[in-house]
Amino acid sequence: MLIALITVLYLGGGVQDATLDYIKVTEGKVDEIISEPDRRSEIKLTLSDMKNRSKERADSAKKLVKQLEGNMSEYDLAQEQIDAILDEYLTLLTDYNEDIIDLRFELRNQMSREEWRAFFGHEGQP
Amino acid sequence: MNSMSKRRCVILLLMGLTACGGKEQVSSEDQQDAAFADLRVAVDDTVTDEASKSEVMQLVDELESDVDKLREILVMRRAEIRRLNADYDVTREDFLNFANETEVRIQENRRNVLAARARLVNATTQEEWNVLTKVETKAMKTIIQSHQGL
Repeated sequence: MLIALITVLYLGGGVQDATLDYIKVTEGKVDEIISEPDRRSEIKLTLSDMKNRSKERADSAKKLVKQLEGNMSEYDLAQEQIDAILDEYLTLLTDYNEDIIDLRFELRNQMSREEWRAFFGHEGQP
Repeated sequence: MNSMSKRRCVILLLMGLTACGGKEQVSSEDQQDAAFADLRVAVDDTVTDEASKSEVMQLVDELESDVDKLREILVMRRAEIRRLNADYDVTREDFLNFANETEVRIQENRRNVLAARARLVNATTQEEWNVLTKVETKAMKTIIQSHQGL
């Protein structure tokens, strides 16, 4: 458990993804806020893409965390192994951030300003 | 019963009472106190050399401080992402700049924790290290999960 703590501190948290909560809450409001069936479907499809991308990222991150925990628990730590895993993790994170931001803008372009406000208008309440 | 064990009991009692209260949740501060109390008890039980024990206890304090710093960063990150997302006119660059700024702040924590880990290894024998790395308690699991979820 000490190793898991060191690993989460080292990676900077966030192995699980708050985006999934965001998607779940947003999905729950689509039928209420969007009246046209075609646009509802488009928005739900974008949210589904976000969900799939987030799950894919979480699965890959979990594998790297396992590897990192294995290395961190060794008494004689090989720094190169840690560096290699961190590089892979940061690449994963950067790619994911860019993809999820693109999808966020896709979602934004599917809605009017008023609809966006109805979904996300209250800060902290997606 | 030493002072650490007494403190641990008080925390467990508080957690138990809170759990019995139904909807009330144990605060993250109480969870963190319990997790680090567990770790200090394990260090006390495991590390035999007094100078090494003192060094390891100091490192546990530093790790706890790193946990605080990371939590602060992650809570701020979550709030800022929600604020950015709510803004219909925000740009892609605003998001990416914020992600980069956060990563810079996390890097400092990363350096600290790796240095603390190296010092932990130096202050323990291989046998002691093997025991400490296997310490597993509910409170520690909860605090780790809470950071992973932020």
